[in-house]
Order: sequence, then C-alpha cells, then structure tokens
Amino acid sequence: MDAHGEACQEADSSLLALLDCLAEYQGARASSGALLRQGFFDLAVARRSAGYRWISPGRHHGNARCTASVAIDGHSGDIRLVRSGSGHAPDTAARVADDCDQGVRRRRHQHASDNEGSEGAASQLPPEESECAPADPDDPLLWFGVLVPPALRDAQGRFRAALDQLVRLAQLKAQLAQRRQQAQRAIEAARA
Amino acid sequence: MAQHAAHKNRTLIAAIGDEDTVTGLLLAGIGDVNAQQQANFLVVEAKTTQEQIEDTFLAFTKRPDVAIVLINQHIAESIRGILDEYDAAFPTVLEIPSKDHPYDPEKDSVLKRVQLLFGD
Repeated sequence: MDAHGEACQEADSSLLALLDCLAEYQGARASSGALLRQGFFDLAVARRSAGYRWISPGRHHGNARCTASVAIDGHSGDIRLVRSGSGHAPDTAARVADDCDQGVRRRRHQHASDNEGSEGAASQLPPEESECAPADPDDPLLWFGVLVPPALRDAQGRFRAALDQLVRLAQLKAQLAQRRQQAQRAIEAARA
Repeated sequence: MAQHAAHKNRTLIAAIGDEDTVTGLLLAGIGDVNAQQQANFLVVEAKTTQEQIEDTFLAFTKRPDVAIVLINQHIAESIRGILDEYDAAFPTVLEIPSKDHPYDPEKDSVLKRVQLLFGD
C-alpha cells in the first residue's frame, strides 16, 4: 500500500474512533437527560408536599462543604467523581428507609401479638433489626429537616445518578476533542 | 502529563442554573462555599442580569479549584459568544437541560465542533 493509501486508512480509522466516541457521548447525554427529568419531577412532587419555598437552594448552609467532588488523574487527565463523608448511596438510602419501615411493621405486629397473649416475643427479635442506620451529618438532605418527603429523597438519588453521568460526559467531551483533533490531522494528511 | 498534573487541585463542580437545577445539584452534594465566602453555584432568576451570568461564568473558569462548570443550556444561550470562545480543557464546561428547556443537540457546542469537521 502506498503512502496516500495508508494516510486514507488512518483518516478512516480516526473518523470511526471519533464516531464511536460521539455515539457514547450521545448515549450518556440521553441517560443524564432522563435522570435529570425524573429528578425535576420528584423535586416538584416534594415541593407539592413540603411547600415551594421550603425546597430551594436557599437552604444551603453558608459554611457547607461539598460532598461530591471530582479527581483529575495527573497522568491521563481522566475525571472521576469522588463522594466524601459516609453518605449513603441512593439505593442504600432507600433500603435503609425500607428496613426502618419493616422494623416499625415488626414492632406493630409484635405489639398485636403481645395483646393476644404471646409474651416474650420481644426478646426474640434481634436488636439490630429494629435499628436504623445513623444519618450522615453531611447529607444535604438534612438541610431540609429530619423528616423529609420521600420524593425529595428520590430526587436526591436521581440527581446523584445524573451527576455520575455528567462527570462521565465531561470525560467524554475531553476525549471527543482529542479524537476530533486526531481526525482533523489525519484528514489533512490524506488530502496532502 | 505535566499539563494534567497542573489540574490536580481542581476538585469542584460549579453550577449556573435555574432554581430547580441548582437545588437538585446541591442535593447531589456539589455545593461548596470557600474561605472567601465564594459559592460554587449561581441561581439564575428572572432578575439576574446577563452581566451577572457572564461575570460568574468567567469567575468560575478562572478559579483554580473548579474542574467542571455545569450550565443550563438556555442560560448558556445568553452568553453564547463567551462560551464559543472558551476552549480550555479545564474547567470543562457542560451544558445541561433544565426543567422547562430540554436538551437541544443543535445548540450543543461539542456537537457543533464535530459537525464543522464533517463540513455540515
């Protein structure tokens, strides 16, 4: 193969790599957009139950530090999301809430059983089953109070997931720029 | 490599958006106020001027601790000239949809640059 053929092949492969990256970028765009849309909906539901003024950026503490930040790899320039504190993942938070509900149900059921005369059942229940995990003091959800609407908790989960996707988008944007430059150089070389 | 190492101190995600977007992002944990009482977010309301948006965007891009700037696409439209001129790798600027303004790929500066390559 001559030099021109090789340059054309190089240009083709660069363009294919660019298009692959573009497809990934658009996929991440779609998923982040869907998560944000669901987050906005959950936020609206939470506002309906807690009040419009209550759920606003004004609740942010003046001295609050971020719990979600990014780390840039010094070697490759890769960006990744870092969560600080002991914040629960959204699914963990939901599971903890479910466990709490179940604990209440168990106690209620147990109370009913006691009334029926089955004494001593309380001692059979392991203590950890009726305990909830302690709340993370840095959790932004606590700015809105201790008993927040479940929809606000859902909204937080959606926005956290969306943030993961947005950081991935930032990463893909950098890759796209790099591949676009490579493709441009390869095309110019093929034309020369 | 040295270029990336210089950005190692960039850890914050800044946001310029409407009330819903900023509330959601603060819930996700990006909110930060530094020792100089500078917040890393701006809530754009009806009374917010274009000058304020421009100043905040430029301030975020100059801050050495900001890695990503998230901006609602409809707000980005009001400072499109500045955004098109901005081509630094860090902080990375990402346009995101808002509740009332869904994402429009036609306005995405990333896709516009790729389209230019294909001559569209």
